[in-house]
Amino acid sequence: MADKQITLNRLSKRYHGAKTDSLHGVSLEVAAGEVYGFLGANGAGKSTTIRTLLNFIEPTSGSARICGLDIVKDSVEVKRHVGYLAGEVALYSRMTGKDFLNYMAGLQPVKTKGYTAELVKRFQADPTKPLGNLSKGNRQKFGLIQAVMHEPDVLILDEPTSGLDPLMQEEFYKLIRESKQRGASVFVSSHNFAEVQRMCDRIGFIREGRLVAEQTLADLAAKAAHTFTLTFADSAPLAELKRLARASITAHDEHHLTISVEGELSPLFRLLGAHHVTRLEQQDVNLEEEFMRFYQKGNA
Amino acid sequence: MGIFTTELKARKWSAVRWTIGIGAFIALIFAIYPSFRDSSAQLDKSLQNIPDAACNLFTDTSDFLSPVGYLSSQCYYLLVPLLFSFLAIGLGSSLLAREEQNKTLELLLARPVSRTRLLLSKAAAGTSILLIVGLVTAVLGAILCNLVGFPGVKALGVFYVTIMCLDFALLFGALSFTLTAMGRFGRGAAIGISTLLALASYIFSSLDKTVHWLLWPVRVLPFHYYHPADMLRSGTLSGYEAAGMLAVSVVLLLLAIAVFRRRDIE
Repeated sequence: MADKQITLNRLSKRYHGAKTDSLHGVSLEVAAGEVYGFLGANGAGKSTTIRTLLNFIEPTSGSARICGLDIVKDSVEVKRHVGYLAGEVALYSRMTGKDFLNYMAGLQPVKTKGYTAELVKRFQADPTKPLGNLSKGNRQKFGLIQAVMHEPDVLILDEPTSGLDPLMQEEFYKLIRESKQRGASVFVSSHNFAEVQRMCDRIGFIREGRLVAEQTLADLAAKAAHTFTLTFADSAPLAELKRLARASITAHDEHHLTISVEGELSPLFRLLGAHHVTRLEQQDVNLEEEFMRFYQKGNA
Repeated sequence: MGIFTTELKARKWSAVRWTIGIGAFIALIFAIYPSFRDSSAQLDKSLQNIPDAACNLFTDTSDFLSPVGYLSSQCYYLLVPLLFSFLAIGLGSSLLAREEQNKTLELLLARPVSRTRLLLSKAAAGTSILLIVGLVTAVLGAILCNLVGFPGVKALGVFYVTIMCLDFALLFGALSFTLTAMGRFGRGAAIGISTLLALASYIFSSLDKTVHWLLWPVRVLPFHYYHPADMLRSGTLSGYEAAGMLAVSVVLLLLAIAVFRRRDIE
């Protein structure tokens, strides 16, 4: 792996008055130019991790570094390298978009002159209206622009495309690709599986404050249950297929059948060889199913 | 644009409204003095029946009808310090708490801005607004004093007494600011506690001449060190008292910084 831009070392957080940790010794690393997806249910610890990384809250134990700098001791210096978008974008409702971006640029100067104006144009944001008069999606655009306009080395994004229309989502994915190309690390928390699947190189699953699994998208695809939709000329051999180990039939009718198989595929194809299969279609890796699998395993 | 200038810009109309409001009140009190003076013989009879304890709540001089007594009782003993205190407490309780409540504080802290710098910028903006309102009304009072003519009252005394009111208000503004910086108190609680302490300070200090056991405890209250009648007469500022109150405000600000630097943002 290339240079680690984000490193969490057994990071824990217990809120004042709480009986248990909200974050239990989370350790992970994100390399330069890597997009890391952070998945978890509500209350799993995603926002606590992000808020700790930004030193809005202090870790109870453990440590974390961003661009080699300690997130607590070098908090101000860390922020020079970071762009942040909160899950619920809160902006100054009386300010116009232009005033808001000027204010943010005053606190953290932009590197490339004209880049902010380019972003405003790309996201079709209206900088003349007060932010309080804008729709959620349009406010989100300004939230995104302020997070990326200084071309940070590390982007920390919480539900970044919330409220954006499909065209603007495309523009956002393009922006992430550009950030990745210039070597920026992206740490993105999301509930949108399709988005994570599309954007991320690696995914971490967090459950009850613990990082329960970490996988690259390629590994996930290799290990994931393979789902096939089969069409038979004759009746589908339902009984035989049900007997297959580590396979489950999720839908079927007279001639069609959808089956998910974990691991070795040879038994399935040996069985299919004995039947007249007219069509076989493989479905994409379903990240949502994988996510549910991790959670069900944890609950078991 | 920095935090300080943005805060000033956001609150400019509020500052204008407060300046006009307090300025208009002072102008009115000064303007009606000639009518008050003309009916002083009648008023004298009525005032003789008021108990001393009640008189002490409105002025720090026994002579209501003198120019000094009039300005103290009608303007500078209670109402102007109270108005400045309301402004200061309102500012102190909202400068930081509103940002935290609206979640915009995260926008600022996600930038390379230290918590100390953030707090100092906010405090400087609040103090500047208080100073602008105070200085304009202090100068206005001094000018009106000369125009209307108050025998025995020095224009510089009117100016200084307003500055002392500011100092007093600043202390309670700093208190509400510190309470919000500590994070345990919401905006409403900070306003409530600060206002209660400001009022208690005024009431207990006013009663110390009547309730003798209060004589020592009131020494810890800022209002005890506020004597507008003396300042109006002498035209001098009580330097030690003013410096003492300012020092307490600075200590409160340092406490706010110390706590805010390490606490979790809600």
